[in-house]
Amino acid sequence: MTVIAYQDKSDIQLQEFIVNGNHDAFAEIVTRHTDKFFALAFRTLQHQGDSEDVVQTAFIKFWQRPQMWRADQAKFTTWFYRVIINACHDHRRRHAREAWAEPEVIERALPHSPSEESQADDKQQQSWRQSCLESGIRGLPSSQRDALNLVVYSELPQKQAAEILGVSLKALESLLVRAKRNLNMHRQVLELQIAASKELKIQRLHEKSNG
Amino acid sequence: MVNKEETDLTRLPVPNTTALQASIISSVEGMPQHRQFSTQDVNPSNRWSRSFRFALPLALCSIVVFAAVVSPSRWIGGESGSDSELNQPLLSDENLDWQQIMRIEDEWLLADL
Repeated sequence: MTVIAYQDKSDIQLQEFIVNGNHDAFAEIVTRHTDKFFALAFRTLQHQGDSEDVVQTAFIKFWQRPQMWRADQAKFTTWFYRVIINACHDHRRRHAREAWAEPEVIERALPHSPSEESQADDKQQQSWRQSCLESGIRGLPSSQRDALNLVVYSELPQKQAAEILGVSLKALESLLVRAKRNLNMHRQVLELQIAASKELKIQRLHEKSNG
Repeated sequence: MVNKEETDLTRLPVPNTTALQASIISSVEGMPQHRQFSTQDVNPSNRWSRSFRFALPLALCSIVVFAAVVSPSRWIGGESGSDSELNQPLLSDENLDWQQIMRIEDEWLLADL
């Protein structure tokens, strides 16, 4: 009930309340922003539990030291997106999930190749595309991945995304172009590898039946 | 071909965060906040007066005690007497060749003139 009283407050006003230990103001800021911060963490880490941990830890730190956000330097969301990105990078470093997944591992994880004519329904194709995309994004350099996550998936204006990443607009555009190009290449390489392995299987089956 | 092809960037939907929000809000209940650094704590006059009152006399005493322990003869005034060689004069009278010394002095005097 008390949370409703804070709904009209700006982030700066809420911060003033939080500095004074106001729990309801903190609840309002959590309710207001958790969705977008979690979405960014989830798309960066690709793991629900890890992303929840990152967002929760960041908010707890904000509760403990609300003065860390300097309203005269950046909007709350800009600052907190940066906090989340840094926390995700730390998390990935600790858990060493930065490496490209091996093609065989991806292939095993994929439900079906889209070119399997008899079974290839829309759902499977969609699932394959998504697995392919997720593995491609996982393998991108972190700067390209962050740019993609902020602009394409969090739908932030490029100016804000550039501010969060601490790069110029031109550099951000370049990161986005390279990210998309790398994803396309990744998908094509996977398709070729899967097609080749399928050919090999068919060849072996022929050899077996002939022998 | 790679550049012309439009990338399908549709990803999996993001899970709902209702439970996460509740968890975050409840986790800080009763949790203390770190107060901002107080300038009163680092008031220079307080800091220096406290330092001088305790640390400086202590440091001076330590230096004096250390020096007295390391070199007691210099600080207390007496000779230690333990090292007989060190207490001997560099040259004893019987070793000096006084005629030679006087000759050298004469030579210096002549040279000056």
